[in-house]
Amino acid sequence: MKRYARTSTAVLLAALVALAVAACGGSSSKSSKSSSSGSSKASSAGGKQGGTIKIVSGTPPLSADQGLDFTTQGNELYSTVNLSLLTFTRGVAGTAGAKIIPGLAKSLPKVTDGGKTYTFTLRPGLHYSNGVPIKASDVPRALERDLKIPWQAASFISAYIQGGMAYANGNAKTISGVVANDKTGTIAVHLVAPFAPIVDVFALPGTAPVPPGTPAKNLAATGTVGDGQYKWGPITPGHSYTLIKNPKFDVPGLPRGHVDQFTYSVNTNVLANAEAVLNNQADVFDPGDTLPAAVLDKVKQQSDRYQAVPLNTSWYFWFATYKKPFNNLYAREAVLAAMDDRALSRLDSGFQTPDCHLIPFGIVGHSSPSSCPFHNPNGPANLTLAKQLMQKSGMTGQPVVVYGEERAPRRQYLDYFTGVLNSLGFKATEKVVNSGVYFTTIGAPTLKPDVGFGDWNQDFPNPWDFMQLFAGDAGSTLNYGYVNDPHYNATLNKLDQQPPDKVASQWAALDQYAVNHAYYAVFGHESKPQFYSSRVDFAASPLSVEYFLDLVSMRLK
Amino acid sequence: MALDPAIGPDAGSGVVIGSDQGSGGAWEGGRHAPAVGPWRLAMRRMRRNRVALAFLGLFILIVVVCVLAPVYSHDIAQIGPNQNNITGQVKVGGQEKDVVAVDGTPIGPTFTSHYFLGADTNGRDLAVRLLYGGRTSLLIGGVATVIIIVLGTLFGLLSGYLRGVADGILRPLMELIWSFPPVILGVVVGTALALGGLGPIKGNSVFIPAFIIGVIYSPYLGKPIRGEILRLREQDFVDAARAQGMGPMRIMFTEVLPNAASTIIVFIPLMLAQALLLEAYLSFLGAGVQAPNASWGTLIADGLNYIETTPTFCLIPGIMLVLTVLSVNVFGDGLRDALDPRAQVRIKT
Amino acid sequence: MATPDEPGAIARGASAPNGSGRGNGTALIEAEHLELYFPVKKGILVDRTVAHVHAVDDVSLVLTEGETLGVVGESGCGKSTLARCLVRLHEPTGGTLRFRGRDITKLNRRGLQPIRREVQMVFQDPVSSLNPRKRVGQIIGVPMRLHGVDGSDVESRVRDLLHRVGLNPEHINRFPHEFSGGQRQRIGVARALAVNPKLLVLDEPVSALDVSVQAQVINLLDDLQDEFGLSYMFIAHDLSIVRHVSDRIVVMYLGKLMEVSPARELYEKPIHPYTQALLAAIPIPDPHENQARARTVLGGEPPNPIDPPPGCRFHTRCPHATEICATTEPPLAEYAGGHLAACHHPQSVGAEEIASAVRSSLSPTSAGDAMPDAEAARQAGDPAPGDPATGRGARTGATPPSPSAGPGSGAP
Ligand SMILES: Nc1ncnc2c1ncn2[C@@H]1O[C@H](COP(=O)(O)OP(=O)(O)OP(=O)(O)O)[C@@H](O)[C@H]1O
Ligand code: SF4
Ligand SMILES: [Mg+2]
Repeated sequence: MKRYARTSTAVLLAALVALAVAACGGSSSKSSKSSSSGSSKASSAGGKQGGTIKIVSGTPPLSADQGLDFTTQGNELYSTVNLSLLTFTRGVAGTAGAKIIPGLAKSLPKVTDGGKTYTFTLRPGLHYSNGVPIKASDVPRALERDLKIPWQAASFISAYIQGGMAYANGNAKTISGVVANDKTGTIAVHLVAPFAPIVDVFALPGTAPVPPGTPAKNLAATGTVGDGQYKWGPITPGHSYTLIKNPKFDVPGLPRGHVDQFTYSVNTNVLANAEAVLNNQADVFDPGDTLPAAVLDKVKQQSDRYQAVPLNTSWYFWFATYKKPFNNLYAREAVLAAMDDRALSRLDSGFQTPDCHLIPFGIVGHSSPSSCPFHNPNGPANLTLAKQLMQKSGMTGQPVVVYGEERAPRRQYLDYFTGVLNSLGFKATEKVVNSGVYFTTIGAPTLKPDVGFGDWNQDFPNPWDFMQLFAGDAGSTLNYGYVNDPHYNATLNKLDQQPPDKVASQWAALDQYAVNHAYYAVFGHESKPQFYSSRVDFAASPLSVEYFLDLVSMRLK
Repeated sequence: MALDPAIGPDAGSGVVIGSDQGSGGAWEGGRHAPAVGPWRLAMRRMRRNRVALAFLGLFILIVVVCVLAPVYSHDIAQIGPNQNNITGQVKVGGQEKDVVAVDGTPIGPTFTSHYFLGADTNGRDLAVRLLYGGRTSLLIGGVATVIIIVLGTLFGLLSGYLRGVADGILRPLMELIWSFPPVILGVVVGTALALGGLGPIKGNSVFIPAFIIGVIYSPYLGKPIRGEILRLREQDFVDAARAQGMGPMRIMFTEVLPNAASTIIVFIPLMLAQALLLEAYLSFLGAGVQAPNASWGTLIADGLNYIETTPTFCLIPGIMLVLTVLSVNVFGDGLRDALDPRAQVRIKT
Repeated sequence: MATPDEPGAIARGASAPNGSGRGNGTALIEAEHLELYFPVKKGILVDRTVAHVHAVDDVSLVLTEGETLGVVGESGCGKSTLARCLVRLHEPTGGTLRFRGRDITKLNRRGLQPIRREVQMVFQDPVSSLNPRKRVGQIIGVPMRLHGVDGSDVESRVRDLLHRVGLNPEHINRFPHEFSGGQRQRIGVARALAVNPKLLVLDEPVSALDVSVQAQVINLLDDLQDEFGLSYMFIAHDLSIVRHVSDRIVVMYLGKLMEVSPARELYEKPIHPYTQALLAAIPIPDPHENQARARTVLGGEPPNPIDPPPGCRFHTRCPHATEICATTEPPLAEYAGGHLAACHHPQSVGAEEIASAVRSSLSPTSAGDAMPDAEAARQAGDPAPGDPATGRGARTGATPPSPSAGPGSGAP
């Protein structure tokens, strides 16, 4: 989830999981074969080149510095400025966009030492946008900078890479686990324990190298000098950001971008933004924002420039599984049976695809909604079963406080879910919390809430990123219901050492195991709006599961 | 005493030690009219004010309709105010229609017993919620007004009559509350208390906004009452009471307070109108009535999402609120004219 | 002579009032060097006292049982304040107050309770002195109940009182606004009488009333005095009213006593220039006499009581003022017949009388010892008693202003 509170805590949890894994001794893993990097040809074929595109967004990134920010909005921008050792496939919709390909590195990393060492080799003759050559040692410097500022996702570095924690705590001058050789262009990364998702981390813009002399502080108003297809133009922090095409960009196999310039304007009035795009006064509606109900109808009529694209998110309710009434399996199952996912989808203006699984459709390990027990996600709730289960649980009349966010449609979910609980016979009351502090509120160790709402946007397209939410042996602040199942924990710690596609079915099985135990009540995966002006080539500019807006692929008609 | 005969018996005859009292002829006015107190006079003036009475009738009508919300909900609409029915269907003109369409658009007014005013996103019957919301708004407004009257009167009375230490504490307190814009103060306190509750009162109780509004507006009554008390305490009848040995509490409540009563009464409708409005503001901003319960304010906020497609969602609770506040205000004006034709009680908004 | 500092000195030293049939000489209320300074406060957050209003400044007097003591003086001279001190509506800021010999200066509310029964007040403004929200029955009944009259008796007693003060007992349930000014003042009197007091302090009880009604109320008071054996302190701002009711008269100016005299003598022989000025201000029904009269016209306003002038308070406006007046405060000199006056240059008295005058124990503490100089008076050919300059001596008591001769009616 690209949000400050969640990411940092997610990563903290991940760190502890990793430590546990290290303690048990990791099982061996094979290095993933580096796939060929010829997925896209030199991408000037067809379509218009050049021009300016105006993006409108309701929320600004926290900074223009990829060394600080880990928001969706930020990543949309510096995924074009800061190219890392690895990167995601561009210009393709759906699961294909989750594929990791070499970026600055010649190929995917060599995995040795039982999955604990990843070795990258830089392509020769690379340059920053200012002409300075890129050296292998720029990578550890960038990682150190991330830890110093710190990057919102810095604990991916400090928790998994040897010496990362020591450097983050100020106990070391360098990150001992990252060894760069400028002569050979190799960068060896030593992990504290086998952790396959590290390849995803090295595909994030936050790990991209920075030129020598880049200060280790947040460059909110200028951004860093990058190595990507675009470079920063004028920036007014919090208000507008400009990207200008980097003519020096030349990495074999990677697209160079089509549009000359992007302007990214922030206006908190999302309705005005939507109307601007509708009226062709702006070109791109930021998919991080929700289309307001007021314009939804009109927007939906623009079928040639609007569609809802399922992205990697999961929306769910969690249960406090250690205390009454939801320590009772039947009580939880009754809730799952009584939920009508179609209703929940309608509350989100139809933007939810009903499902009970935590791993979303775009990620390996996902299971079909048809395997959902208790009720069919695309059909009505199973109220008979729910009533029976409720009877068995003996929890009728139990008081519960349901926590939820204020922001639409989350408060409506809360109203609905509370209604479900009450119809089952619980005495449910609501607690609506301001969206800005919701997750810190319910994650506070003192609160111990009964049941509540949660949603998760991927950090990167890896099943681990979702399944770690309910890891119980690490005292996670993301695990709001304090689920703690030994089988679940052990399986998670085993699977995260493997590249996900190698153990896809085992991920799916773990997800199904948790669903059967009703540890979470996932009700769907949200779609995001792909909504452009008529100037933009809609078909050639798909949303990316990783980046949301894929600006490098975007072009005008 | 060196009394001069020229003044005495002559001028005083017929009045001094009258021997003919009871005969009725010698007394001023000449007849034994029943004593007409200030209240009775006010009632008379009130009864002559047809417009104010009409609006009082409107207000009572609104109250009665809202109080009857459970009857409407149970017997006519057959759905509770917080009952979700997102995937349900309703028969309109012989056709089954989705209460909430697949894309999330709720049904508009059907003008039948079910979903008379349409549904909201959660498939709840807006007419039912409107009435229940009105009940909640009026309850909060009423309780808040009681709190305003009690606190404001106590503030004003203690601070104005006792002065000294009591004034030294109460007056800055009133000024402090008074100097904040009510909406901002209400949102801050409301948000905090909605989360944590207030002592034994849970965060989602309607008594929390009532309490907040009561406290926020108490200086709006307390300050004018204080001024009134300051004026009254200088009246000779207060000194007369002291000279008779009456204690300060007794003087405050039996001598001074009855004289401030008409001012207080004039403020009741004004404060009720203010309380209703502030409740709406706070609920609109999420700091008042807590979900899933409705009030006119939350209904307006919910309806705002549909202002372009179905403006009635937003307009109808708005109209109810406006009508209520208007009727209270017009009646209040009449009451003021009746109670104190000269007074210029206006409240800063 | 007893020193003023000695407790009780004044009471003992004070001569009993004479020249009147009333008054048995037993002191009811004694004020010794009574002072009431009102603080003048300023400040935004915290009030600071920046000055004081010298409303009552070192006043000593005695009021004996059965007598009527008139108090006159210009508006703002402290009459009401003095009255409120005597009934302890104010707590004096200095001096001592005795009731029947008992010090009540600092008594709290509970301690004052028995005294409240015996001392009552009738207020200047008949409108503001009656609670508009109460019925007459309550207004008069509440003090009765407060002082222990049985509930069932109250109504009959209220009716009885209403009758006594000349009101229709049937009006017991009326509200004050249903009565005329004079009737309201009667209600005020009835309320004061409700607890069977011994002393009534009447603060300008008739000033707000029509001249004809004034007479009715005064007659009523007169009758009640006889009936209940009351003592009165009767306040007025001019001499025309008090002269008819008072046994003795106190003349106040800027918080201080100027002259204290048996009533008749004050009119015949005003010693203090301020008293003379007050007398001169009384309109005379006969226009010729009015014109012929040499009037001592008081110029200007009384000085600010926040910052009263030194020496004799009156010196800024006094036609007889000399140097000593501006520097030395004159003591109250006691002349024959219990006539006191605080003036360096007494009028209407001969040199012999001046010579035989003694310093009164009622004198303010701050007053000097400088007694009027008899020699100087003799040389200056001091006017004889009943000097035409006052124009009043001969007429006193003969033809008082009739009700029809209101202020201004005598003007040509
Ligand atoms: N409560 C008070 N606080 C401050 N100053 C006061 C107060 N009451 C009276 N004074 C001041 O004390 C002085 C004497 O006032 P007081 O009312 O005793 O005069 P008065 O002789 O009764 O006048 P009047 O004939 O107008 O009634 C005046 O200067 C008045 O302003
Ligand atoms: S002392 Fe002086 S100023 Fe005062 S009254 Fe007598 S003559 Fe006038
Ligand atoms: Mg007065």
